This record gives sequence, structure tokens and C-alpha cells, in this order.
Amino acid sequence: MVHDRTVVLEDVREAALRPMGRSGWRFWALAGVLALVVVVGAGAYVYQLIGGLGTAGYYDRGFWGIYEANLVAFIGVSYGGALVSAILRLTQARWRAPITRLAEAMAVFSLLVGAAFAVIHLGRPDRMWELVTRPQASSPIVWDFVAVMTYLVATLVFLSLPLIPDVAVLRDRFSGTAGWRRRLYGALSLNWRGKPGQRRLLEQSVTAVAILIIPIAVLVHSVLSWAFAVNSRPGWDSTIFAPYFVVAALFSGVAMVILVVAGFRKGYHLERYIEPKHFRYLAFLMLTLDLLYLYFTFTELLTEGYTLNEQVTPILTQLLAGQYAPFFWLFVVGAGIVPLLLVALPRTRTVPGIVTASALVVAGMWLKRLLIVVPAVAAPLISGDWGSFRPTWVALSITLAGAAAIPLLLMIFFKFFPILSIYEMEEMAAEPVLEPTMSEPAVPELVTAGVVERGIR
Amino acid sequence: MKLLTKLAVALVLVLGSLMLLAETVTAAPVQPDPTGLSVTTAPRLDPKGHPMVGQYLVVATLKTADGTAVENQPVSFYEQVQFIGQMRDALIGTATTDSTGTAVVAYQPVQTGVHTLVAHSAASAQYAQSATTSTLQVSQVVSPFPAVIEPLASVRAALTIGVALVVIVVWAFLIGLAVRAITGIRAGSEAMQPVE
Repeated sequence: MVHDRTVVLEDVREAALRPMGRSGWRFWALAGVLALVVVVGAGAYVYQLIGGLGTAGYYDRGFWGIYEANLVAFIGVSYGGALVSAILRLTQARWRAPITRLAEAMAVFSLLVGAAFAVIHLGRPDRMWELVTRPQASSPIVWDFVAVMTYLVATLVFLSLPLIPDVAVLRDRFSGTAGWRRRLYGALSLNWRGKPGQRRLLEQSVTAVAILIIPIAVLVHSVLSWAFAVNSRPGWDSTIFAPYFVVAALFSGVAMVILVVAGFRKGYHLERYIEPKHFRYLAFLMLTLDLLYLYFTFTELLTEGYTLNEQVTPILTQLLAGQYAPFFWLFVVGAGIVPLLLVALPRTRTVPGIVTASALVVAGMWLKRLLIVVPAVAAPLISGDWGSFRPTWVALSITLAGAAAIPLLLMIFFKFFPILSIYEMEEMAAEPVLEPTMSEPAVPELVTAGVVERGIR
Repeated sequence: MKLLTKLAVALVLVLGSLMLLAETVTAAPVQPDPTGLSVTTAPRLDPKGHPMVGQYLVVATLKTADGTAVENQPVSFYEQVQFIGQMRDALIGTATTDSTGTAVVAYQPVQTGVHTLVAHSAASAQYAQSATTSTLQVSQVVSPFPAVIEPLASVRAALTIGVALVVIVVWAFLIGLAVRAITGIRAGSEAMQPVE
């Protein structure tokens, strides 16, 4: 069997660097719309800074609301992205190569946006610095700060290390030019020549970070849950909140990875490398997490409902049959049952079906975070009056800006760095598949790396 | 006859006046007996007889002028405090005198220093009102509120140090890993020892 390997690898490089080329009007239109949403959100934040958190709908009986939900939701999808990539690397899932870069970049940018909501959530952001200068060790906010910063460093390292060989490709490509790109890629490529020692060191380092990032991500989201759970407020004071939050993060994170992969696949015509099977595999992972999350939700409601604690019962009643019931059941059906059916049924287990399921999960899990935050805050601790939280245009604008910032940052990032992991796809191509599987033949080429090569089969 | 009638009327008037006068004399108020009130303080004792830190008994004794104990009289106890620039009496409690004329309340001051205590027995039909003051030097107080339960207080120091160490190790590992990768790759890594 003769393979035109050089041509195939050149195709991979062309696809990986495609977003770096001249962009069409669709790119600029989308980037413009997203940037406009971000600018409007920034303006709303300035308005909030001047007028105070009351302009966003906050008051003394609605003091945690949409920003806290955004914080948990965006950081949650970040963990999902990092963990998907780390787990696939450690299990040496060969199909991972075309999606790891997207997952890792999404992890970094959604974390940055999520962490920004921690600041937006503060009425006095100028006091943020006091977390460093005057930390109170017993405060979960300090734990959150330390944990998120640690995780940010880990995700940056996790994104950067596998980028080095790909940046070297860019360095070589721009070596004949005199612009800033040559200098930038020359500096960032760290003299990468693909020597055995360099490869060994890189693989060791990436594996070490992949191992480390899993417990960090689990612990960090646990810490985030403890900001709620160690509070004695009814509705939050739960022993299962840490694993509940971790599963929620993974669930929404996998769904977000699917959406990001689908969006960039369509936008840059990467169908040849990111195949339907990538969506199916991720969808099966999402299905498992969907069932796990529904199980956790059921366990939480059962234990709270069965004991009928006099403080928790009103919250539970409002959630299941009161003012929050439409939203709760919308979450159960929209983010739990419908995605489950879409993925479980072969007829709907297609790329559009899986993307629809993922969109429902991301939106539904954001709603669920809001349902964790708001009813517990609105429930009266002393008087009989319920509070409420109604987000104003300020809060909604800032939230939409956060949601728009993630794809915008990804689009900008991939204007400068490869969207596919060239190094990994080439590594996968170099490793022959010795054991044929039931579904796919053993082809010593790019098949398992997601590359369907021309004229090979 | 007329004279007899006039005498009879005059007699009736005189007798009536005398009866009215007598009635007026019996309805006059009875002067209450004067009383004397004394107040002392003593440490409060626990069931084993040991003094309880920061807790006192304020004891008032009510007696008549001839030294007879006054029983079943309410006595109010106050502490003189400064409230918005004015001296006021803050009620400590009220107790009723027993057969020995003694009324007792427990007192737990919240501030150290000299406390001026006031005992006051209100006037009744039988006894006149009386009041007296006493001072108490307090050197140690106990908070009247329950102690704040601090989570993980017994292991907080060790826990803080432990968590801080874990964070430092993780950061050192991450930074060390990145530095090692950067320097190793930049150096070309041909000279690096292969790691099995």
C-alpha cells in the first residue's frame, strides 16, 4: 500500500492554519456582532460601577443572582474543556487530536470570562486587591481566589506546551518574512526542532500537566461549591454540593466543547478532520454525565424533601411547585431528558441532533445555576416575605457580553495560532494502528487521528 | 312645746356634727412605717461552692426602723449607666423579700470597672419607700452571649498551613514544569538524558 503521506500532512497543516489566512465577510460580520455585544456589556458595567449593584437588580434580599450563576457556569465549562482534553490525553484516545486544541483554548477563555464575573459580582471591585493584602483564611472567597488562580496557571500551561511544536511550524512558515509574526513565532517556538529529546521532554511535561490538571479541576470546582455549601443558608448547606458541582461542570463543559468544535468545524470547513464520530464519542460522554447529573439532582431533592426540614421545605416547594417551578421543570426536561433522548436515539444521534442537545445542556445548566443561587437567597430567614431577583438590562447585557466574549476570544486566538494540533495529528499519523477494531480497519495512517486521507483507502 | 322642738333639733344637729367629726377622724390615712434598705454584693457560687468568674449576687435587706425584717416586699435592682450623655438606671431585675427581709438577684456585668448598683423598695400602704446604692469593683467579665463556634477551630492552624503547603507545592510544580520544558526545549534537548 502506497500512501501519499506528505500530501496528507500538508493538508493537515493547511486546515490547521486556515483561520490564520484572509478572513471572509462572514468572519468579520460575526466578529463585529460579538464585539458589539461585548462593548455594550462593558458600557453596562461602567454604568453599574457608577450606579452600584442596584442597577443590575440586586438588593438586600436578592444579593446573589445572575453574576454568581455566570461565575459558576463559565468556570464550570472551563473545567469541562480541560478535563475532556486531559482525560483523552491520559487514556491515549487516538481520536482526540483534532479537538484538543479547541477544548484547551475554550478552557482558558471561558475561565477568564468566569473569573471576570467574580469581579463584576463585587459592589466594590477596588477592594479585590485586599484578597491579596489582607486575606482571611477562613473565607471561602479566599479559597476560591487561590483555587481559580492556580487553575488558570494550570490551563495556560496545558494550552501552551502542546502549542510549541505548532508554533515552530509557523516560525518556519514565516521565516522568510520580515514582519512581527516571524519574531513572535521565533520567540515562542523555543528553538523547537522536533529532536527526540525535545519530543520526549514535551510529552513528559504535557502528561504531567494532564495528570495534575484533573485533581486541580476537581478541587477547584469543589472549592467553588463550598462557597455555597459551608454557608448555613437553607438550600445551599448540602454535603453533596462538591461532587454535584463537579459533575455539573463536566456535563456543561462537554456540551460546550461540542458547541465550540461544531462552530469552528462549520466555520472553517474542518469536516474532513472533525468527523461525526468525534461528536458521537463526546455525546456518549455527555449522555453519561447527563444521567449522573440527574441522579445527583434526584438525590438532593429526595433527601431534602424527605426530611422536610422547616427551613428547606419552603424553598423546595417554591422550586418544585411554586414561582420557580416553571424554570426548574424547564431545566429537567430541556437540559436533562430531551438531550438524553436526542443522544440515545440513533435517529437523532447526528451532528445536528448532538449540537442541539449540547445547546440545550449549556443553556439549561446555566438556568440550573441560577436556580441554585436565587431561591436560597430569596427565601426569608426572619420575616415571611420572599425576596426575588429580577435581572435588569444591565445584568443581562453584561451576561450576554460574557457569553459573546468566549467565541470572540477564540476567533481572535485562532487568527494567530493553529486551530488543530498539527503536532499531535502528525504524531498519530506516524503511529501505526496494529490492532484492527470491529468498526474500523487497521490503517497505518491518519484515520484514527480524524484525517480521512485522499486516495489511501 | 316649741322650745322642746327647737332643743331636739339642736340636739340632733350637735350629735350629727359630732358623728361626722368622728367619721372624719377615723378615715384619716395611716402613716406607713419607715423602712431601711441595705445592699451588698457577693460572688455567685457554683453548685460546688466555687466562685463563678464575673458573676455576682446583689443582696438587699429591708427592715423597719426597729430592725424588724420586712417580708413580701418587691425590691428592684438597677445599675447606673450613662446613656446618651445622661445617667440612667438600667434595670437588673426584681426580687421579693423573704422572711429575713432579703431579696437577691444574680448580676453579670458586661464591663470591667466600678459599677454603681441601686436597690429600690417602692412605697406600700404599710411601708414607706426606701432606696440605697452600693458600688462593685469588677475586674473580670464573662460575655453574656454564647461563644462563637468557629469552624474547624481546633485544627485551623494546622489546616491552614497544610492547605498553604499544598498550594505552594502545586504552584512550584506547575512553574517548575513550565520552566523545565521551556529551558529544555530551548536548549535543543539533544544533551538531555533520556527518561525511561
